[in-house]
Amino acid sequence: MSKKSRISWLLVAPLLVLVTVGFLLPIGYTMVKAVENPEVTAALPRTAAVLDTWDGEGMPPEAAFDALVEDIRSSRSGLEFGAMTRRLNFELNGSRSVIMKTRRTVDALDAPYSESLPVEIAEWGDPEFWRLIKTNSNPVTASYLLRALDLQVTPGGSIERVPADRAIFLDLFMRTFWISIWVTVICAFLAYPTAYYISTLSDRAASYAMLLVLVPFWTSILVRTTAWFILLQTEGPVNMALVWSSIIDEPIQLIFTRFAVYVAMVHVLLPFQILPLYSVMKRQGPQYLRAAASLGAPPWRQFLSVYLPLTLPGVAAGAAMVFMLSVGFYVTPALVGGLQDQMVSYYIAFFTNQSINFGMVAALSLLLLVFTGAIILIAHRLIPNVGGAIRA
Amino acid sequence: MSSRTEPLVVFDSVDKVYEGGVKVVDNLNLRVEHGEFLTLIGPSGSGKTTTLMMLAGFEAPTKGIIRFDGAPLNDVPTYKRDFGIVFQNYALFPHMTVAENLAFPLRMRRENKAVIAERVRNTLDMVKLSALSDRMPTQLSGGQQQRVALARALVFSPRMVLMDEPLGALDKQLREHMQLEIKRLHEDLGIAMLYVTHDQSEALTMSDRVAVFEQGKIQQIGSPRDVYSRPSNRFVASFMGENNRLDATVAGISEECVTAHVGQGGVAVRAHAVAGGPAAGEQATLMVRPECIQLFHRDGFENNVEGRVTDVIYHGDHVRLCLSVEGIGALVARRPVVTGEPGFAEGDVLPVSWSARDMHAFTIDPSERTEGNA
Repeated sequence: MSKKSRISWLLVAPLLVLVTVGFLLPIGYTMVKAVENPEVTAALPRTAAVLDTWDGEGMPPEAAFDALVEDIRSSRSGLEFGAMTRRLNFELNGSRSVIMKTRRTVDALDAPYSESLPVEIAEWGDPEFWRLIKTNSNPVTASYLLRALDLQVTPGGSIERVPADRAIFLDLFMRTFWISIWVTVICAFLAYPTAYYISTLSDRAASYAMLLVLVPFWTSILVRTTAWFILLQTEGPVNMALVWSSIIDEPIQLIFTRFAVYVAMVHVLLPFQILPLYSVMKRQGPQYLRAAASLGAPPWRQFLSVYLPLTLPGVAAGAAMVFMLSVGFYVTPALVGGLQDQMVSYYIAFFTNQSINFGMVAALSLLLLVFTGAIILIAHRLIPNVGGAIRA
Repeated sequence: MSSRTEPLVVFDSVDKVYEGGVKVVDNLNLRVEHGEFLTLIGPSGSGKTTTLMMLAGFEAPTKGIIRFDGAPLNDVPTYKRDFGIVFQNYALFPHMTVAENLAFPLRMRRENKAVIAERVRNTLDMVKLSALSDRMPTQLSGGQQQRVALARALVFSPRMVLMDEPLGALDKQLREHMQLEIKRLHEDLGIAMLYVTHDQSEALTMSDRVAVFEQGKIQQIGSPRDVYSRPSNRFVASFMGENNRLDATVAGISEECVTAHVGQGGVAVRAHAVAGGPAAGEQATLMVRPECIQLFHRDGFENNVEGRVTDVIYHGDHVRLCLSVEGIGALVARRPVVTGEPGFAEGDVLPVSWSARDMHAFTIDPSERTEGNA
């Protein structure tokens, strides 16, 4: 390696390390987490080994019962046991209580367990329950990813839709993208005239106007969202002003609505659309509009045929940024939205903090990444420049 | 509508004052005749571009009226003026192909598709760019972009063509080629053209008339030959072409001839007298072009002296001789290089002469004095 290329490598090394450690590894880890399935094998190693040789037809052999009792007796404590019960309960509601009951009764049982165990706990006489354990002794599983799409594997091995009362994730993805698309569209429509106006100002006035755009931009998202939380209260300033000016008679529900989510998200994300648009518009100069005018185009044609197409790359760059950021929004909908306005990130947080199901966390994250990537790719095909660099 | 007796364009006492009170155009009266090629030339900030911008409708006069074909133009927006404009940076629409750029003005005029296609093709033929009709402007060279800009300004048969330093971005050879091309188009089409430049060779080769601008005023307007060889004041003489400048005191005036002493009581030289020129006893600037200085004595030339060559500078097609003349000072002469003719060498003492008709005497007014060498 020449000295020059060694130096270039040294220069990019910090970034390379950061990208690897901070981005590639976590993403890779997440992808693994979405399909990893170690809990049952870890907590019930003997049972898993015996069931591995079982063909799944009829009842499992006596050895399986022995192994189960041995596994449960030897794992009195430990996190692994809890993880296993949660894992099985995720697949089949009620499994957790079956296992816990087994743990309480197992010491009092006598061999042969294939006879004594089903008497105490009926589920152990059902081959379905054994098949559940066998299926989940597999080191990889598709069930998290399937569940994130409202699908599940039947004990028979086929894929079916989950019951309607538990099917929430497809709706969640649809809602997330729907909210993001609207936020993107609203931002574009608000930012375009704003950026245009700023681009027509003198340098001095433009720098003040830019300050008005940038000060919110530099303020924490949490602070801005909290401000909206206060403004949109039922007894808050917005409602009071509307009542006072007799536009409405009674305060209306503003907070915890979709409306509040749109208002706060657009406010937070607007600078991301204004800034690239402004930079594109600033570079335009009057010459193309003058040329269009000299060629006989009235002002509206100058705008539609010349100005708009030439500033569209700025719209595309900003819109891609706004869309990608809003897809991952968490704090803002969580604070000002209702339960029906929550986005995928809310459930990722829920599975992280509340139900501690990292498989679902990983599956939702992975699918969000894949869907967002797909949408950007499609948009890139339809409108060149979306997600790409701004061309001069 | 158009009455042939009326000029095509009339600027009637037009002022343009920018914010901050800078008067860039000062009481301008200018006429553009039908079919004429008129060039506005001057240093930057002289008001020539502002004049074109006002005619184009991009700037509004602060005072005065601009008439086109007798009708006031002040309140007509640009897009209704029907002028083809060639911009300094061409302003080709970067998101349209060459053909689409040319079709744009025709589409604005709601021509039908067949007519548009035919006129685009014919116009591209005219500027020899038919092969490039599907290219994007960024894929073209500077010279090709210039032709497209020209074609776009002509394709809709405008009532007039305005050009704002259209050749400024081209290299010298291409510029000279395009000058001839534009001149040919003007002759073929017979359309009036207003051309703004700061390049005097452009102004001289292409124009029917040249208007020399300075400080918002026209200093002289006339044929290229007039403006070059009979400059009406010191500014025009020094702006157009090169000059030997001598400060002198006028001794006497007779019959188209001014006699003046160079410096304070130096050698007497004779210059061409013009109306409004310096009077006897006044300070004057005398100017004579290097190519008018002959290196032999000739009967009929009023000024005959001797000079010593102090430097010879070779320019390929000509040489420039720096001469030192007693009682006058330094003079520069320009001679063509002719094969077989003996060259000049430093230290040669040569006869030096020039005609009084080639030497101009200008008054020095106080404002010009402070301006120094313009």
